[in-house]
Amino acid sequence: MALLPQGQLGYRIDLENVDYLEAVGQPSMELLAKYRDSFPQFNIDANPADLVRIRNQQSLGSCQGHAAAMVMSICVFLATGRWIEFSPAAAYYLSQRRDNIRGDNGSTLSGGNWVLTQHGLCLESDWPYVNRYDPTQPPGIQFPYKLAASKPLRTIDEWVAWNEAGLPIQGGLAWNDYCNRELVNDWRPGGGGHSTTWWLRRSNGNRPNINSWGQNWNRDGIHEWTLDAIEKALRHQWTVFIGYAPDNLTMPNPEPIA
Amino acid sequence: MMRWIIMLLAIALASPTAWAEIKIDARAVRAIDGTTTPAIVGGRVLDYGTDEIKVTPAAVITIESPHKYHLVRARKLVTIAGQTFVSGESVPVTKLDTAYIVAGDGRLRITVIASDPGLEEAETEIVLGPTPQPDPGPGPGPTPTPTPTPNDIPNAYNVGQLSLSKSPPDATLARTMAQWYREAGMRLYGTPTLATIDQVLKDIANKFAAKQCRDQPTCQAWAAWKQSIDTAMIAEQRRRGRFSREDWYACLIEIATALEAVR
Repeated sequence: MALLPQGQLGYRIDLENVDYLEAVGQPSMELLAKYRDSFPQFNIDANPADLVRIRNQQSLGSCQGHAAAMVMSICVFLATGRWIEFSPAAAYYLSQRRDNIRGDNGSTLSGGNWVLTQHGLCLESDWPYVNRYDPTQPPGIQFPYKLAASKPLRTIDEWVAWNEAGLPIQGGLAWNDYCNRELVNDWRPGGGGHSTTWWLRRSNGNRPNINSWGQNWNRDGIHEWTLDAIEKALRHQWTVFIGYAPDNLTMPNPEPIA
Repeated sequence: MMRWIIMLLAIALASPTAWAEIKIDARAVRAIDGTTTPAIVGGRVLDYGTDEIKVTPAAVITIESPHKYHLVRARKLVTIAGQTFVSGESVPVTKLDTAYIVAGDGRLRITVIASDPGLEEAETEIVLGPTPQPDPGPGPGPTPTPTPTPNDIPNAYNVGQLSLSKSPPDATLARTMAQWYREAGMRLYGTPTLATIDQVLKDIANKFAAKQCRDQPTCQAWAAWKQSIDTAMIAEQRRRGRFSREDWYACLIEIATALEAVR
């Protein structure tokens, strides 16, 4: 099977602050217990491509910012039924500010975690993404959207439990040609770091991975991983998976619709 | 320290369910919570602790399956307007060495999702707590279909009774429209496909615009109905601050239920 083209990466594995993620995250099983089962039952075999709006980070190393913005959109949908586009530019540049990284040199999941849970995120319309490195924050914008996050998911059981609850997972791992496939059924370390979003499940048991390389990458911007491949990546010391939930979601009330 | 002793003394129901290769055995038990140093002597449970002890309904779930990973979920089933739904209330599931314990009461649906190899799902239901009284059965003669009154229509979102009272006497179109609202609600939960509330409301509006009425006065009456319902939905969102996805689902079902009662 032909490899998929590789886009820009940007996850700074080398600068990741796992201790911070452990300190501020909540135990995944406790957070799941608080998260209410959906009423009615959520069909986790639904195709995320029917809902998510795939973005393209283009030539910037902003994968983590894109994944963080996608996580926020998914959580807001789960909480409100509405799809809102959040700013990957804000997520990327604010993460970098927290990471103390200058230049287009990527960001970490711990930086993104701080943005999503402490600082807050803004809308795409407030801080539009452009394919040119410019961390200048537009004046006068608010960052009211915040979520709850788990501690790093350490075991495949934790990972599956989070995923099977219909909640998104942001991942950061070493990305190489094992990953540039329509179906990732094996994983080995090596290559640069890349951050993406996992959400829902295929009817064959594989897990969709939402990328930020445009809608034409693998036809719809999403590919699949087997649980075995996910578990291999999970066991590696440089892989980080964080579960996010709309628990205690803070956001302004949207305009009513009918 | 053990705080739970599971007493397999009173087995109310055992309902194994087999879907393909997964077998679920769900047995109702009584759990004793609060014990510290329990002992069973002569058919009695003795506890040397001083904490308050409670006996609560629970279920022991065992699974036979060739899969590597299992996820067990338990949810309460509730009945609203004659239809059974999975409640939003989470029921805790505790994993033991070779079984799972579910603590709760009422009618529960137990779902096991197993993967690797492949993916399988199996479900069973169990009733915990006081044994429900048996249905006395129908009396002599045919049972008449009850006609719902406005008071029978759910109205938590202030659109149910309005939907019924404002609708013209057009049961055929009302039932068709009820289906639109029900399907819209399910799409928020991915059945058959995912959609946002904006998308499903737009779908309903498009279908409403394309509907065929039996005559002009009925068409006008339905237009007035839609206007009233839309205004009420907006007012309710303002009153609550915002609708959650669950609120949207319940609101859409409230409208559908009312339309199904139109005669």
